[in-house]
Amino acid sequence: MQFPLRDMRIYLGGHLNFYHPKKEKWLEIGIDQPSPLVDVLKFANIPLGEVHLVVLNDENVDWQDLIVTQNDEVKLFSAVGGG
Amino acid sequence: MYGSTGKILRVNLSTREIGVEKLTDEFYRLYPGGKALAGYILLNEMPANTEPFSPENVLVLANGLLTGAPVSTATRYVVSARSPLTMGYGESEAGGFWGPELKMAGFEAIVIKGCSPKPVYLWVQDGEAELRDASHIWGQQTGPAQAAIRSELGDDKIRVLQIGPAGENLVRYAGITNDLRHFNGRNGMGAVMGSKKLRAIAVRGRTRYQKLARDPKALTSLGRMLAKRVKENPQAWSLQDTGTPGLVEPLNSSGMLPTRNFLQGAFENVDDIKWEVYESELLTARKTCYACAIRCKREVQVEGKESIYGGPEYESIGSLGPNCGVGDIHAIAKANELCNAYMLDSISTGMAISFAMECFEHGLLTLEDTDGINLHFGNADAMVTMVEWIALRKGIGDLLAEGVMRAAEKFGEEAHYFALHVKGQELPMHEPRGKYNVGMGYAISEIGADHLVVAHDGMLANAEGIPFKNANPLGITEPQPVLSLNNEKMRQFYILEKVTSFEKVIGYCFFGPAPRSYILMDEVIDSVNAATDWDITLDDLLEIGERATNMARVFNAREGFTRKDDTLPERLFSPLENGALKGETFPRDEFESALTILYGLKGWNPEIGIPTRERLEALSIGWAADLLE
Repeated sequence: MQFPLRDMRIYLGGHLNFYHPKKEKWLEIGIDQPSPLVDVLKFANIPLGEVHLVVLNDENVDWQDLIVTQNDEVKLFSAVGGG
Repeated sequence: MYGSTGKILRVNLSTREIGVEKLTDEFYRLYPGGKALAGYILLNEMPANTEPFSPENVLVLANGLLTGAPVSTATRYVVSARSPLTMGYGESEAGGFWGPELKMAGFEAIVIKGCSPKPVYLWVQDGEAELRDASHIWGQQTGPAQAAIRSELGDDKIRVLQIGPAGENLVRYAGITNDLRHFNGRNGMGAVMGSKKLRAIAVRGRTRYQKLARDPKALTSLGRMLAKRVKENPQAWSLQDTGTPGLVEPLNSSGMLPTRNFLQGAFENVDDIKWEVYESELLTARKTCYACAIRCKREVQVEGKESIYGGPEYESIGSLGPNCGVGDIHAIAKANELCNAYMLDSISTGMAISFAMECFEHGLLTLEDTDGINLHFGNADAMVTMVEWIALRKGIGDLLAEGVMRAAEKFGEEAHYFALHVKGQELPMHEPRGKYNVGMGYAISEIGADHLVVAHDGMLANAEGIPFKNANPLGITEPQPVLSLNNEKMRQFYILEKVTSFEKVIGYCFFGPAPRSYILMDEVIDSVNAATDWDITLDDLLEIGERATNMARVFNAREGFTRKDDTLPERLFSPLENGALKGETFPRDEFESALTILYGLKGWNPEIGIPTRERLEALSIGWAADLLE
């Protein structure tokens, strides 16, 4: 799959910024067409098993079959414990 | 004996007698520190129905077996007594440097009895101890008091554990601090210490843990490997990166950020208090506890000045912030600083204020009651003022200092619904309507509502997640939904509670071992076996944890606690008003069934929730059954 053109911004909440190459909270990734979120995450090396919650444009969504576009704001969160 | 100094320091404040008790290896293997040692001493040395503020209450400060070992997160000690907040088994853990220093000074624990006629502090140094006058620091905030003690003893490296004015004033949720930034916050242990006129325990020691360990090289090697791994493990690394303040936004997005006294699960001003704001507005440094490579502690500036009291953790941000409708990060930091200077439990303090705010909103409190303070949700100045008033028992603060359960008695029938507590202890900042096992932990915990009873549900809900995989050796092999209390989930609860309990016995922090964090179960076992010659197994550790929990349970049973006390505030059975979990309730019927299943797994009488003799004997504490007959 190719992701060559427009940048989509993904927020890496909880410990997910561990997987950002620079450990930053926002990840920018090129996307030129509506694409399954799981493919985008695989491309970005975000382990799917670590994603607990996805917020799409301020709404929590069931994300396994989610299609995203470059206009979407996606926030990902890992499961968080107490302490 | 390996891994232990083998000594307990005993102090009678009434008679000023100080003595040393030697432990046998056989005894210590059954009760290897922390929660287990404290539970044993409380049950055997304090009669039932002892008044918490009487000289007869026994205050135990007990290190874990590994406290002070050169291994990340092995820093914890327990403070235990009968709680003035719950009137049951009282317990609160802390990390920092004081516990390891006590071990280096030659003691596993200190047992305090009696009551001093005048303020004193205890000075412990390399196997010796003396009581000293504390009249000159009585009434001082914790910062100046610590400086005065260090100056008087002429050593800046002395570790000072102390109460503050809140403990002196017997605020029922007064805590204890060490080094001004590590806290035994919960259950009012600071008030018990205050009732004994014991202001502080200063400690200095010079015998490293490696001298006690059976295989110091193996222990050091494990410690080095774990220190390196912090950078390679996302959970541990994240604790270093953001610390607990990083929980604010994920919990808000999940609909689980307690807001306005648990009325809501999402806060409209979360963007003003999330980690990025904390980092840019408050953060000055990242600090740590003894020998811990995680470095989850934050240093902050407050009102433009470097604070000496450490930065607010998630629990403090939550309780003093959204829980009070306050979205001002600077006000939250100031209130947190005041909690630490007066030494209040920031969780119960925030919950007492949010309780008062909701009562005010409903007209149960008026401006006349509050001396003109507008206590509406969201009033940041009022929230900060209330912290001080509670600590000093000024105005309405005097009632709130009693805790929400007792304050509700004074505010009228309707107020009970707004008083969110279990067994008298106020709820921490985790939303049971979004993670049912956390709710189960709140209900069943011997110390009242506690968020550190089991790993939180979300961590074990995904088979591909790292925490779940790391929980496999515990026999947790089927992921379970967060919104369920099914039989398998109760079985997992039963196992996970034993894990958390043995952590409190051997001295590991909740942020150390898997599944919450990154130290694998095999490594936990290896660390105990490097410290001792016990050749211990996972089953042995789980039994140690279960034994400790059962002793605490017996303590409560002796005080009259039964199944009816294992419950949740009515509000949690009502729908959340907003956020991702809008409309969610904690399922009452499922909860009662799950409780029965859990009691069965624990070997407790399902009608009354009290351990059976058979189970206590199986745990080698048959003597505890005698106490219930």
